[in-house]
Amino acid sequence: MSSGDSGPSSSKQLVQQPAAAGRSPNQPPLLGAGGRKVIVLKSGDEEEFEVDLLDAMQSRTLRRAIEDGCGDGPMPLPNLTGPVLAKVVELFRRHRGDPRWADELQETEKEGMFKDYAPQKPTAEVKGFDREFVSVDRDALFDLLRAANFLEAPGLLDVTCDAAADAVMNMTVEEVREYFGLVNDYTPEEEAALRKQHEWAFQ
Amino acid sequence: MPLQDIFSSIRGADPDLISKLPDECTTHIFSYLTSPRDRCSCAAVSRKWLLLQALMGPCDFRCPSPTPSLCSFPEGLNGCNGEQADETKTSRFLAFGSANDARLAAMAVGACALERAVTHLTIRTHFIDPPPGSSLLEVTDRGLKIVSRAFPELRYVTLLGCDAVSNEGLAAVATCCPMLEGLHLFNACQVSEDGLIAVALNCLKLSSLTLHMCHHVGDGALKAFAQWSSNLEFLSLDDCPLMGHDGLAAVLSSAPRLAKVAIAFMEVRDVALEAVAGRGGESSVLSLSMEEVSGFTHLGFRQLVQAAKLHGLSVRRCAGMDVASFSNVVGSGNRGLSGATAAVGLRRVAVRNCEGFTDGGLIVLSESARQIAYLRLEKCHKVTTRGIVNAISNCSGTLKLLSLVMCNGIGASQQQQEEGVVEHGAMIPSRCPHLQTLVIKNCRQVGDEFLSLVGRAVGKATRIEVVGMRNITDRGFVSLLMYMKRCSSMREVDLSGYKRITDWSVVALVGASGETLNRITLRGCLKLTDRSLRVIGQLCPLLDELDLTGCRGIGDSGVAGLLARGAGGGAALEVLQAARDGTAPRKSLLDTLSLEGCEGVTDGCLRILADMAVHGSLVWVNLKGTGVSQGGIEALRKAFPWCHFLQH
Repeated sequence: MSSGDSGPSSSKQLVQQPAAAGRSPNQPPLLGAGGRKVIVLKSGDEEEFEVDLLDAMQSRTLRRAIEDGCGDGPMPLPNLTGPVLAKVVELFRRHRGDPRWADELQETEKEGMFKDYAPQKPTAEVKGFDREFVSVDRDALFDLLRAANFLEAPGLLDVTCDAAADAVMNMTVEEVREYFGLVNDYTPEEEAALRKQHEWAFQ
Repeated sequence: MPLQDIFSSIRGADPDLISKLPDECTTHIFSYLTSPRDRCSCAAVSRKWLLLQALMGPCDFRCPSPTPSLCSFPEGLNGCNGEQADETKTSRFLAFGSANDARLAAMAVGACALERAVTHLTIRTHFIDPPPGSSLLEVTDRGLKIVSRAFPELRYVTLLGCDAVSNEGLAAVATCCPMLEGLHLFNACQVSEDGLIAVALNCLKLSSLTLHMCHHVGDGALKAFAQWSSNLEFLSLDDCPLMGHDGLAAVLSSAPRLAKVAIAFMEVRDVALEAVAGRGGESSVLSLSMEEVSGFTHLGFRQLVQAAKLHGLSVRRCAGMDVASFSNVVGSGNRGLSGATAAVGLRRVAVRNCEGFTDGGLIVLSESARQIAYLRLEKCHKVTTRGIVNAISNCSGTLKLLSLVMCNGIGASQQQQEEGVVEHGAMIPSRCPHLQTLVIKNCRQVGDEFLSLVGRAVGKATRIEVVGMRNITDRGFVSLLMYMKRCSSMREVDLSGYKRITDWSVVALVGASGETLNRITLRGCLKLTDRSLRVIGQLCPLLDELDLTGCRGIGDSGVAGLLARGAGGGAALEVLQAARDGTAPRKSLLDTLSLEGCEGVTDGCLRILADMAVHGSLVWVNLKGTGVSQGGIEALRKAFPWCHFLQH
């Protein structure tokens, strides 16, 4: 996402940025612009999603890109597929005001951009959404995990990691390996040493 | 199209998905694991996962760690070779097969999951070639980093033979464990000064330091300890060739609390010894032990011995030790001064294996240091009766322990011994009032005369060990007892290897102090017969340990005699009979009895042993090589499961 190329204007781009030419590159691009601020994210399979600027700020990756001035055109996210991005955008919308990331925004705030963005406690509704959000199968969960990691979105990362940790609860070592598709690279001696230390965990 | 199907179709076949995640993400997942069991299962999945989790601390986990009471684990949880846990100390001892990074990382995971603090860590590896590759099967810097992060409250770290550990690992310990009080490195051949300087700078509580065979550690480390470790109390340096007198002098002169120093296989110049002598007024008293130390001269040694701060001195195989070093002690100062100022504090002296140490040295030493309480000589073949007699005389006021081991010069010839009696016999005070322990072991030439000579000095001895001397007969031992007749506080006697003594000595011994004896060792006294045991049985009411290994003259009636408390002489058969009839004899306190190799002991004694187990406190019996049958032993074992009956 380091690409500075904002790409050709898309038909889906709803908000034009007339002041863009006069801005210094260090300033947030949309600062001071009136109305609803929206950017467009483009998945690897060419699907485009519209997302509120403030929601997109939940992702550190997107925030950096926006601050670098890449928010003018559709923002290409080649390693995310359409379905994944759709889910992620939905989560961003529901997590608006989530203290998990809003705190961070307040700290890094520049020029009062997020002054109206007071952190709220996640409501029961949001929690219910989170539960629903991760009730997917293993592969889908991993896709979301990788998306969370790529986007560096704390809320998304928390939800998905929590789900992954829940998934391996009470699994045996072999089951965990199978679940995560990992290869056992211990030598028999090393495994014996581990078993000796935590025999109870292998029962 | 269901969401899952779309995911699958787009992603394609890529089974190992999670390993493509960066470490932070995996760690984030771990942080949501709640139960210790899940954490350990995940740690056991792969090397990477183990190491990732091992580097997480308790605060890296989201959920509060469950209290140990919530998770009831079987004992296997502790799974260490030797673990002792009390309120203040939890120690882990990893040796050989279990000393490796995998185990250390697993320990860290387990400790984090259970919030278990480890304060004492000992790792002993074996000296084999490490397995190839990035194996976890040796102890490296990585393992040390992991444990030091997991156990920041570590106070004592001992590494034996961990030759893959370098400065990096040591520096990790230094920075993560500021509470470190003891560091003991043996054969840490990759550690150099930088690692130890880090320890000196970060661990200001360090009080005990051992560096053995650390071939790359030099003066710089010692100077750092001298500068920063003001709490240093114990210092042991062994075979560190790069250390020189500069570093030694620095650390010896500056650490104010230094109480014990051991130096071995090194070259020490006079300057270091003078540093000991020149320790400041507020510094603590010091005891110094030197083994195979060379390079110092009698001048340095003289300063050392005269130092009032010196409390104990132990010398072993030091080439610089000869009579010259001692004669100079006195020769230099005037006579009046030498008695007043020299070595007033010296309390413990041990000289082992120093060929150059002679009578002259011993006499001079005891004349300068008249407060010696513990005097131990081992393999000092040039010390003779004359030296010993003088030393006893000079230190008679304070001597508590006299130990002579394998000093073949003592009692070397009849002629010399007689001279000793004639010349110095008058100098021996009637008693050393504080002498409690007398040990004479394997001094080949010692005979009856020397024993009776020493007997005059022995006061309230509570422990006498006179072991393995062929020349001693009943006469010598009995005369030793005669001199100490009035002392009724003797508790332990060891007469092992006395092939020539007979029942007479035992009768005399028991007659003199049987009331208080609780431990008698008579290994290999071939001439003893059942009569000795009868006397012991009658007159030693407090006896709880009796070792008769190799006393071939002992038979069943002797064992029966042990029970004849208070009965008249020749009561053994009656007791045997009484045992058969089931009438209870007097209670016996004996709990440990060794009859190994007593061929005369047969099944006839089984009833007596049974009675001792029932009515007395017998719990441990060694019946190896006796005439007792296997069936008899089995019957005893069955009847008294709480007792240990040893047999082949």
